Amino acid sequence: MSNNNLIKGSLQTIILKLLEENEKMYGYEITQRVKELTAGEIKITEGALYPALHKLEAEGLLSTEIQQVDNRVRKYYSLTKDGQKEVTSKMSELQGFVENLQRILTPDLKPGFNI
Amino acid sequence: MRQLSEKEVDQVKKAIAYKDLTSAEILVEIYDHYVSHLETFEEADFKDELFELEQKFRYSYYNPLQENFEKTAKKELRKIQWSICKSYLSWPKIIFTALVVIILTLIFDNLEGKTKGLAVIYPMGVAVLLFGLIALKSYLKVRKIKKNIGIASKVQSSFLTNLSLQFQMILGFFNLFVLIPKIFFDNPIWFESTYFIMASFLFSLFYIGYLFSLIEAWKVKSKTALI
Repeated sequence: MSNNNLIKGSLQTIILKLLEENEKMYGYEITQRVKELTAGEIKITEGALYPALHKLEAEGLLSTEIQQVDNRVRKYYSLTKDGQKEVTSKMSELQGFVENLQRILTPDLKPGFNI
Repeated sequence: MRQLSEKEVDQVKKAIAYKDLTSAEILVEIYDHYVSHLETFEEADFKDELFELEQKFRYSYYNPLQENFEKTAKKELRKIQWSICKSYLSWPKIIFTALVVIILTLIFDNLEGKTKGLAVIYPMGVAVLLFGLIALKSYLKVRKIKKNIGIASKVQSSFLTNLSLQFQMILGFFNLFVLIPKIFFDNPIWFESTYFIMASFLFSLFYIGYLFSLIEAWKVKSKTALI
């Protein structure tokens, strides 16, 4: 399924939501979790993931932690207080967008339709 | 999931070392990504999977990633510095700072000749010393990683790169305003001017403040980053 352009706009929300559910995650783990949750339908590419993580870190929404794992160093990401607030607003923003999109795609739905 | 064999790990290290990465943070992230990915595949698929990773992590991908990370590190440090400055905008702290400034002015005014000159140079010496300590701490953290991956090239924390640029800027200003006029003008009259002394003093206060915010930013980031 070629949905890269669709994912692009919601990648930050996906990352923030995953980190809200899991205390801390590392880059590869995020890609695998998304793959697992969507049964392989959505694949986050490395090309999009790391720049998005770095951007969120610079905006103060994510904090990082360096940890020794096996014989290597791993960089974990977790939500900051600002990040936790941002998840709620990003989620309602995305939910509103999906609802409106649904109305456009299926005009027969009643105006009060909620996902 | 399995553990990679020594031979496989060596191949991964070789592939990473070939990239000539300069940012320690990016190096750590890419190396961990490679190993985590390859661990999920059987031994028979190792070569194909490593090849696939190499196709994804090409120069055209990791170089801009590295450059952008340098920029975001800079942005993050500035953000921390600004939040520290904002936290100082309260009356008790302003009054306390004003009192310290008055005491320093009185002490500075009573100094004479060489001692007066040294009083200006001392904070600069402290700045250099502090930066040396920060650089050493970061070097020790990064050296472990470089040794583990087997990289000899110049790799350092992107945060340290930015911190060192800012320290250099402070030292550069000091040279420009204090030392260079001394070289070109033999005790110029405006050196004794009240305006010049006031400007130098205000500039010194500014750079001490800036230095303070920089060190505070380092204290915050050193807990989680490679500095």
